Amino acid sequence: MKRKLSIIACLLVSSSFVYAGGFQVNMQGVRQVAMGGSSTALTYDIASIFYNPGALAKTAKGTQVYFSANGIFAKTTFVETPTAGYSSKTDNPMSTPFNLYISHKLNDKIALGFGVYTPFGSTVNWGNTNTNSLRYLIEKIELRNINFQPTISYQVNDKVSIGAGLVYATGSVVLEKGIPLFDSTGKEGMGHLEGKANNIGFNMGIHAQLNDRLTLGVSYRSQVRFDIKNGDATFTVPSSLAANFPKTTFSASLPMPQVASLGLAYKVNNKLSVQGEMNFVGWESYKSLDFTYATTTTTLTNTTSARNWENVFIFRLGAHYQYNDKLELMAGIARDPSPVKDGYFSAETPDANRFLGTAGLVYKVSDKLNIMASYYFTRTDQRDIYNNADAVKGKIQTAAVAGGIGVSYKF
Amino acid sequence: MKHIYLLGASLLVLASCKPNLEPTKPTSGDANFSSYVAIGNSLTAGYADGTLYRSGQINSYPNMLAEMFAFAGGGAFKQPLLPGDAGWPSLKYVLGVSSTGSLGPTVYSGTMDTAGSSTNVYAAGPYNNVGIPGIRCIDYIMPGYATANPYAARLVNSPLQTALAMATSKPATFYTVWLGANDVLGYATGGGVGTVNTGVTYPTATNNISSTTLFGFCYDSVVNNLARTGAKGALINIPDVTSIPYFTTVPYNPLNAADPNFGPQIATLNAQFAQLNQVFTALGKPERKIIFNTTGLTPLLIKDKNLTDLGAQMTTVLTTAGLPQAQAALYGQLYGQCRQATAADLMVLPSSSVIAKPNATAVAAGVPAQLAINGVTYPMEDKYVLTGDFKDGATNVTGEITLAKTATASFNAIIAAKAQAKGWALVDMNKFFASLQAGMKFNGVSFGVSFVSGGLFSLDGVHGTQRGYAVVANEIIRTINAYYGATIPGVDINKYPGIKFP
Repeated sequence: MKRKLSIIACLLVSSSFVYAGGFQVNMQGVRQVAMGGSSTALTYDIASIFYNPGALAKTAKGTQVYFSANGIFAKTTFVETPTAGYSSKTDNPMSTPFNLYISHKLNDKIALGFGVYTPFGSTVNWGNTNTNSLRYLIEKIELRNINFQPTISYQVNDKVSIGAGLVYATGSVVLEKGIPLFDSTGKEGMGHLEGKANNIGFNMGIHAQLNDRLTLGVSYRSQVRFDIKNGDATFTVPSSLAANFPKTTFSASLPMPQVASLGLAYKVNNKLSVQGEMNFVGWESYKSLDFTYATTTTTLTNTTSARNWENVFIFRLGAHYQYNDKLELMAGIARDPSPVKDGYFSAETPDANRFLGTAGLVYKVSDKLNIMASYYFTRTDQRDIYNNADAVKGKIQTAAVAGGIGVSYKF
Repeated sequence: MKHIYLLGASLLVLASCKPNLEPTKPTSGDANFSSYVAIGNSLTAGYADGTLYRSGQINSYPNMLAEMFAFAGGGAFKQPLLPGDAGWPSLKYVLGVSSTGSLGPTVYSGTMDTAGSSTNVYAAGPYNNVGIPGIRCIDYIMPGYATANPYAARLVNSPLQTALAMATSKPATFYTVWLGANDVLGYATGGGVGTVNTGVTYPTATNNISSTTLFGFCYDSVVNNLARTGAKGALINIPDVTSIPYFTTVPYNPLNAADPNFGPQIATLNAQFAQLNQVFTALGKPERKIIFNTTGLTPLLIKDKNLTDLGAQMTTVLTTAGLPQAQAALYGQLYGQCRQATAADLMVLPSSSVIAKPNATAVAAGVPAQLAINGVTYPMEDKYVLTGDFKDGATNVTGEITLAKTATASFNAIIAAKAQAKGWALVDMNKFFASLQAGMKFNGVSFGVSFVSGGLFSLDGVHGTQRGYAVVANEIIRTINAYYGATIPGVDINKYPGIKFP
């Protein structure tokens, strides 16, 4: 027992997680992360509030509370091409997606749930020193999204359950970029944009036991568009040019896209189950990133940057192994393609196709208490990127590790 | 339990996961950069903001090149750095705010740190950057040139040593040669006051266009000397000097009818010049008529010394028409060789401080004050305008711009032929500068050729900012890579500072 715990402690230190393509963060449950991010068909806990609300009626028992959090450590390297004359590296702080779920089984048929979770987000910090050639594109971005979701799930019969949730989404963004103007001390100008937005959406799902071995899950989460209005725009520039860069407000709009998932699980034997899953992510709605300022000048103009992302299909494979009464082991892999098309590189989402691997375990401390840990890693392809509008060309690669811990308690 | 150990071990291995993307190792191709020497003028020395100063030297394009060559076998690169940053011998320009609130170049008024700048530093050499501000191609093999140029005087071992002898005191394996701009630039920045030399004429005055014959002889001699040890190199040709902000910033037609100091006088001015304009028509030169537009912009009145001087004829005609002799003589003297500027003419940068102001010299010489307003009633002096071609009645007058461009083309033909003959790379900076007219972008930053805001040219309107020099360095690297099959990395333009604003 003591030995087991020390290994768990080790995992907590070295554990890692990788976020998904675009700025999606697929880290809303420990078991699910550990199974390659798949959990539409194979559901074990009330994180199904996020992954497939249709399964909540089956997974909820009595009153339960579930919490997990991840620490993501991601690094991106950019190397200029064709001459490899200079490179830039991100120095991102740890980002910490988290989730909290509460469920209550009202009767044999109906379960209620409430989830708080972070389905999207991004923290990229290229730095503001002159060793970062990309700082006029972006120095730093912090994109946060927290969703609040009341959920209801209904057990139609022994085999089939359905569910739906109402999503109240809040978002915030902080964005900093260099301005190539120098004051008398040589200090470079900077623009700082900060804004908030919220909106509503929904999710829903169906979970069906096809036979003794096969389980099917289908879920859908709607798009939520964040329309930032009256965000604060402040500019630090030489005083003689201050009138050209007035303090003003801005508006911008960013979609958190729709996601549709289809999963199929197969019970190999009493100990081992495997599942395959496909997610459709509707990134196509991210056409452009536009900043509109309340006050413009000859030098501070509204900007439109084409993004033209494309929809992607993510493929996931996960396995769950019941080692003994106390211990569950999980592992998974996924191929997560980038929604960013060639020629549309943007430094705030330096994205490439990624392959990811995950693992994790759950330890049943008592009938009431489970503790969980997961590990997630990815390294993207080395991608040739360019963006003619910004005259940037190079290769990028991102690697990330994330460690997750969680606890669930049954009252 | 064994399984758990395996799991733990594999997780620990994965924890070290990070991007494995690394820059490729640069190669030198057929070139050998182990000893690199940069030959040239102010552009090579790192001159900017009207002078030479230490930080400009440190970020000279040859030093940028050397930093990149170092990735592919390049050796140490030594520059004859000045002690201070204030500028020597003249102080540098900095951006200042005028009393009217507009931004413009002003002379640096900060801490003086020029002590020791004139000290001869030959003993601490040899140097890898032997760029000498002001030097012409035809000066490069001239013994005694250093007595006329304080920058050269710092570097030579005796006043009689030629720049070439100094530059080759330690043979290099690779040279860049950017010579020749001053063989035409001095003429152009001087508003074309000088002359076009021919034959073996060696003028000490720097406002002439060098003789093509002498240029060819000197250029040959320089490159032959550099190449005699088997060294390789890149010859950089001469940009079109008329495309730089020094010539393109001040418009030819800045007089605005909406200007309260000018507009109300337009009617009076037109009445005043009506009789004179009749004379121009009568003499068959209607193009010289002086007309002030009642709306919009009016071109400056300029002296064009290439026009036939009609002064005497005008005086006669005006006298016959009944004008007092003295007044007719004054008109003939003032307007006999002038015309209004056209879009083909280029006003030099220093003209901006005299336009529409009284010409004190003229007033002192007896010209009535109302006829001594520069560019309005008094023709802008020759030194303030590089004239374009002009159709003067039946005569086609060749402008100073054409002379400068023709000379540039001749010099560039010599440079190109030499590169081909020696098997050296030719950097077509003329073509590259022409391409910059449309602007360029680099990692999200826009660069252009406009004064101050363009970001490429420093406050003298002729020389680069450090970012401008980085753009030049990248074009040289691109050419060297293509010609010698090397893979020298380009420099990060955004690493270097730009113009400082108050």
